[in-house]
Amino acid sequence: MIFHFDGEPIAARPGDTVASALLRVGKRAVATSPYLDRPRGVTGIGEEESGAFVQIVSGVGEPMRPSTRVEVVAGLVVRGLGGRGGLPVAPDPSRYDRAYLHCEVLVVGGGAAGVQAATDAVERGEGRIVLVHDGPLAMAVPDAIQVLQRTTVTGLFDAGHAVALERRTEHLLAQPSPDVARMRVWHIRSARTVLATGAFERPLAFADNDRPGVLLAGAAATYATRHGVAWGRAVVVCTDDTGLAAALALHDAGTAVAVVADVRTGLVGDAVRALAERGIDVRQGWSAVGTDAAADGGVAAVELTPVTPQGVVLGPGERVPCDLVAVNGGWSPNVALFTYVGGPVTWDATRVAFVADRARPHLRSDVTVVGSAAGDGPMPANPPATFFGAVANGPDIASRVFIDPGRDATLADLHRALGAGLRSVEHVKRYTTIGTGADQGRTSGVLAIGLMAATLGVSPGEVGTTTFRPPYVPLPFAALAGRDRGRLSDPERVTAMHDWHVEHGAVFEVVGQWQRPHYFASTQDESMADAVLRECAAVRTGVGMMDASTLGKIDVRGPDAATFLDRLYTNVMSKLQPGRARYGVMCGADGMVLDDGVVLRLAGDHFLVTTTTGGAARVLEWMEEWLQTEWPDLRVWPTSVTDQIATVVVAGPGSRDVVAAVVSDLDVSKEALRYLAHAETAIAGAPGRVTRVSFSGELAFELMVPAWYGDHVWRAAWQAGQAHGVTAYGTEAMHVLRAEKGFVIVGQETDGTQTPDDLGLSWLVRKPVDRAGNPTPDFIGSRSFARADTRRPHRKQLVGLLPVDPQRQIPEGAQLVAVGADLSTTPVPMLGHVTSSYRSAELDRTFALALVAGGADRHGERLLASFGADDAEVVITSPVFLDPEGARRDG
Amino acid sequence: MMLIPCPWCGPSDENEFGYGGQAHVAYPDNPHALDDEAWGRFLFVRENPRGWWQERWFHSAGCRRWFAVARHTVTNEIRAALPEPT
Amino acid sequence: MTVELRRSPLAGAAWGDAATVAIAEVPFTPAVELRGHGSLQAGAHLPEDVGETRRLRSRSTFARRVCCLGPQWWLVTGEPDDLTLVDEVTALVDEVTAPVDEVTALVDEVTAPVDEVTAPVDEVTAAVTFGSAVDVSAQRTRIDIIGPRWADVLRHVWPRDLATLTVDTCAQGLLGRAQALLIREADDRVAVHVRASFARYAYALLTDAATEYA
Repeated sequence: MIFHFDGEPIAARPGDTVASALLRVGKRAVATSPYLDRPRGVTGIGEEESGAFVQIVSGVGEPMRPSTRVEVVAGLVVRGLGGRGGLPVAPDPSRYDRAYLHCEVLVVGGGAAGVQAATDAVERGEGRIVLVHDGPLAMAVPDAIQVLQRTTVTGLFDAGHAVALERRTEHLLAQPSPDVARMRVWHIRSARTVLATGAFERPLAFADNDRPGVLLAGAAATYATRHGVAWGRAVVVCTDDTGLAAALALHDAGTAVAVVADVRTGLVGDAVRALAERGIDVRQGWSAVGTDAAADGGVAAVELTPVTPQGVVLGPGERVPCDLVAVNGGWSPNVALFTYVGGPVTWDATRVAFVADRARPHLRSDVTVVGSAAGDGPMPANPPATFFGAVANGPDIASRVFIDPGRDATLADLHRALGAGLRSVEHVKRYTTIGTGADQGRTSGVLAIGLMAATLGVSPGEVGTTTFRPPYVPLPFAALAGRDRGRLSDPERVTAMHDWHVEHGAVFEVVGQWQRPHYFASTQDESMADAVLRECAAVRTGVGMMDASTLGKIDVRGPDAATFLDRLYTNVMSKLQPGRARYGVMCGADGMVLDDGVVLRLAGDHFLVTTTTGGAARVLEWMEEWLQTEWPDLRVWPTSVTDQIATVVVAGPGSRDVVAAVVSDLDVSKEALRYLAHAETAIAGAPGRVTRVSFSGELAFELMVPAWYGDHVWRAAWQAGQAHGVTAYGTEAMHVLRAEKGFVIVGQETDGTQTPDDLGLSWLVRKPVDRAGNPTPDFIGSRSFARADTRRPHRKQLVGLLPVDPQRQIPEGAQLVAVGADLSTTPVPMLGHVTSSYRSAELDRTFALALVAGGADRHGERLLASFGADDAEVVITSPVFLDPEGARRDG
Repeated sequence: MMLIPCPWCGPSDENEFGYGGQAHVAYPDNPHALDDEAWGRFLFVRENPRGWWQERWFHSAGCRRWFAVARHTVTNEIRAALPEPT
Repeated sequence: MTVELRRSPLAGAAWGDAATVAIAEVPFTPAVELRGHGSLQAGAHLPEDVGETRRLRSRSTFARRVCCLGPQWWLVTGEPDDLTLVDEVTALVDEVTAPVDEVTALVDEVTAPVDEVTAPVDEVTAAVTFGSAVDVSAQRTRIDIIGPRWADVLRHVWPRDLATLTVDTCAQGLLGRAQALLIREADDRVAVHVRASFARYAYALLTDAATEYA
């Protein structure tokens, strides 16, 4: 198959990655380094890749991927990266999703050790076994094991929680599929977790060790044996026996191996013999100190020289022409996931590696490490050398010795950090940025620690490692979002009448998670301002309808229901008669207003409590908290019926006529259904309840029916209202109308720091003794009304504001300061703020509600509202702008 | 994502719960008998230890019961819940 | 009750194919939330463990089920045409106090499992104090996931362990971002009870999750 790299077609075989295909066709220079513009090529075979990064251009695109992890598929287009990738501009049409998985054993890593651990778990009958492997699984496993391929565990978290990213389609399709999720984020809960995450080969430090053509030896051998890549002439530079094995593999796969430079001496064993049999030149006690460049910027020759075990260059060396320098500087167990959950690591001087410290107990006994990740395995014939590279003396050499090529970070940077006095490996990491790039320390980490240790004359164990943190590999945000995007990013809660609102031009606002009509646009061009004025005028002069179904409704019943409500509200609910309703306010123990609403008494032991839309869940939880933790002996049970009941508000001078038309067996005349009375009745044939209650200050009714009938009853009322010019109104008009009457909205005038008294609601707070002289029951918040802070003068109090310019609308949130205050010298004493601000149809001017220090005693005074670079004078007034006697609500 | 051991529903993801802070802080029998300082301490002052402590959780998406657990504030290890409220 | 005036939250929407997986609203399922008093010994046939359900027999032989949602908290549900379920169950609960053992006996009679012969519900005449019984038929709607691939679909949106959701058990939790009650009605059928206002979201979430399995 063909894919495109930097505009050029490249032939690839099944099973190729971009890296293996490019190597096979001899494309060595793949990318450019981020800061120094040096050519870079493939260095490894997995996520330890430090040079050949590509940007995927085809399909959805991805700004930066290691070419060793991109499987070639027909139609793939990639570009070599110049340090940074660019984000795709076109919207991503792919599907992403999330899946949950529960198991008894999670094995991370599908190599030999992982497969063995999973198989053992099956044989022990441990339950559900899951094996996660980051590529296509090479080995066969028993059917009982659930395998997730092409899946990388990105983090381990509390209580056996693992997160893994599965790439599902990129090995099949270059373009996104409309049906199949491109990536899946797995959330796994396992009773125990086995980490068989292997180890990474280390590079060595020498001058110009970043040239294309310098690869990790094991990776080069795998490219040769598995992917049919052949080089012309290779030099192997190594510190342990796997380097010798790589040399044999390269040779046997068809690449001439000119020299094996092993820093160790006295080598014995089968590999040494096999190299001799093949006539391969093995120089013991030698290593590399530099490379020369070819025309493409890749390696043309390597400088080899005898060195001491400490890396001191003995000379003279030899320049060996080659196109591959296969480097093995040892192996670093992949312990990142283990350290995420606090697993300890320790320096093993024999293995020359940081390994999981299985001798030390740690919190997460459910997480174990096996295989090479644990430093397991038989000791090789020749022990590995503690050697991190040989650097010749001379100017400008250290700046060409790359420790983290992905960050263009060199030995010179390390020397500068140590020379500046830094000694902590965490400081050195941040000063030099070593390990902060794509390789995240997989190859650069221990190399840096080893070089640091050598410079400071201590062991690598004394230097220690930096802290690894998830995610283990980059996670696209789209994958994390899964299907929680767009309209599914948060539930859109709708009422039974929603479709009618949509049909009739509603423009919605999100209140909590609810979709509420903000206003109804009567024509396509009607602005919100005009619509709201029209709706308000309709309610005050004719009749309007509003959907109030979103308000919280809680059924409270039981022998102790009245006692219970008396403890929660500031006013006494036990005195409320069945068939009547009452407005009430709840406070927290700190005396601040928590929520408000109308309470209906249905029977001696039965109430229907209403709450604000946003407060419904909070109030129910508040009730349950008190009943369960403090008053378990009370026989009262709250049940949410917010969705059970749909509520239609019919408001305005014409509302009685409309309600009468849909209510067949209830007398809703002024004398029969008095203010705050309610009664059961059939409404347009549905079982319901009518309440006379008003938030607008006009004559108004609330029709409640089971939500199944909500749409029908709304339409019936609308139909009946046609003869009366009925107008649908939304939340904005509702806000304006109630503000004209000085009614607060919890969450608008309040922020949890207002007492009922601050809001002018002390008439709602029961006195310690009633009119008969009996003590009233205590309620939550009462003690706090007596706190010094709650009784201090100049608390912010609810007032009305009239802008001096009657057409000027002050923004909500505007600060109020003294007229003539010097606004240029901060801090400016703030006397209050605007909580609600509107244009009134009835008053034909603007007005606002505000909280002002000592405001109740300041009616008539002027203040300055300050907002941004602008300001406007306002007059403090009563918050009731309209009908202070309340005559309109009787109609 | 912690696993909270609900005594009735079993171990459940922490996002099924509301958090209730320090456990065993009983509402005073007679708030009016406390001076402002003592009442203020009840309202606003809670412990904040490094190590094991008892805290409350509310299973809002499940059985809607309050219960207490012991949690280590550094490691997030959670131990047995106490099924009785508070 | 004139049926044609009602509208269910999803208007009976259905999607997919029960041979693999179908998602369908079961509109107008009756439901009552029952709360018991802390000192009450639950009737011998009321499930006491959270997640346990019992099938009930009604006089009219509609299938009914009582689920334990929490300590002293149950949900009784039934089939859409079971028009007397709500009245029968709420009639158990009244303001008159009865001794605890009378309560237990009467609850036993009403909640006997399907295979036991007991007195029909409408012959229970004494009123008892149980706690509360609230009609919540419209508070939630029921969306069934039907077909052999039901678990594949739920695995994308339900974080809890589905292995514990065996036939005749229930579980509460989060379906995506909406609180829901799942009842395993049969081998290949799970009923999702979700609040009416969340129904469209839950349906969209489930049908989207089912896309790869249809």
